[in-house]
Amino acid sequence: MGTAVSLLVDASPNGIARINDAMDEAVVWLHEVDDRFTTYRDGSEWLRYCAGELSDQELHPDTRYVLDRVRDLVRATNGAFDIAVDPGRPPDPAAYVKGWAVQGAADILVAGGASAVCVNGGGDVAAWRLHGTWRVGIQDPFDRSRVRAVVEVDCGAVATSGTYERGGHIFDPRTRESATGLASVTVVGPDLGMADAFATAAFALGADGPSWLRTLDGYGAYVINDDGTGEVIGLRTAA
Amino acid sequence: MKKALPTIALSAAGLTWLLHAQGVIDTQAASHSTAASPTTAPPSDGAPPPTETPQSAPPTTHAPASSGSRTVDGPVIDTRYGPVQVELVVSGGRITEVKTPEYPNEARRSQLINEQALPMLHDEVIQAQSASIDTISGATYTSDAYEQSLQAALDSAGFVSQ
Repeated sequence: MGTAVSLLVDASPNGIARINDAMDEAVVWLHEVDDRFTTYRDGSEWLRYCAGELSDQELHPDTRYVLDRVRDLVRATNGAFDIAVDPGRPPDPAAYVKGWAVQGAADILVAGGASAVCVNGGGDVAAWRLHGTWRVGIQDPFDRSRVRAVVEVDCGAVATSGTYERGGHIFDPRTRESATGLASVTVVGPDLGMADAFATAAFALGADGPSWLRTLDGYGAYVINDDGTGEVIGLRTAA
Repeated sequence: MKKALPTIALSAAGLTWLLHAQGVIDTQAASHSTAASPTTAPPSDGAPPPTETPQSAPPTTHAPASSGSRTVDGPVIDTRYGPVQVELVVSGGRITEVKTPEYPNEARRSQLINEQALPMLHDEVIQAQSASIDTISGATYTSDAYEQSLQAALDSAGFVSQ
């Protein structure tokens, strides 16, 4: 499965050459991560590791890092986040890796001297601004022409999980069946890898997702239930 | 992530130098630069990144203060943690303050969230093509679906306007 990544960057005129280099670097990074972790093409390092062809010691540092973070997340969420619940597929770290990769691209652009950065990878957003805020719309899961809410972000991440784009690909780890109960979960917080994983975990928990989200430190959420009602968790609200 | 399609919209509309700011750095701002360097110099060991400037001023905002001061990009200083962009507050054609903006590595982002109020959410249904939306967060779309997405519409609008 592929997705599109949008890079939005502001830089002062005398920083353009440097930021162009940083954009090239960010694109190379994204392709590198894709090649290393994809489960959609044979022969990626991740699939070879899953097949037992590579030992822990033979892994690239990034792969070891992701493996550690994924294990931490499985533990920290008591299994609500789980990369091995789809019965028909190998373990897929995408629910963490995609956010992590997009966050990494944003960090490269910030280090490249940008004054504002917004990277959107398939609907997951890492954003930073020296001045003011980015306005991140949350897609209405029932009407693609509308956004349901807007989050203002000056430094942070917004990740949304739902099945309205690609069907029932998120599984409840307790039942091993497609998750039900929620239309979408949006998590807002400091790091996109974590936000992405938390959003997926909460979606997988269905009706139990909101109460689990309330236990998270430093991450807020906006949940849209199957009946269309919305719930704000740990975020300030304005009319 | 297969076939990641970077859609690149580069805007040069950001902050611009005040032409006379350069000259002022050599004179009045010299002491500020010296004063600022300890906060940007890398610590000798694995201490956190040099993001801590004396918090004598509130976080910079883009809006000009009533005194007519404005904030512009200053020089970029290389540290062992990467380049740090310095900000200059200019008032009446003089640099009145030199600041080191926060460098948002992961630890710093976490710290920011803990220090500050949580992000603001506007709980309102609006048309997604609204000019007030910068980007859209939603369930992951495929490369093919991207073409039909709101994000694609926003991206192409960005290309046109730059």
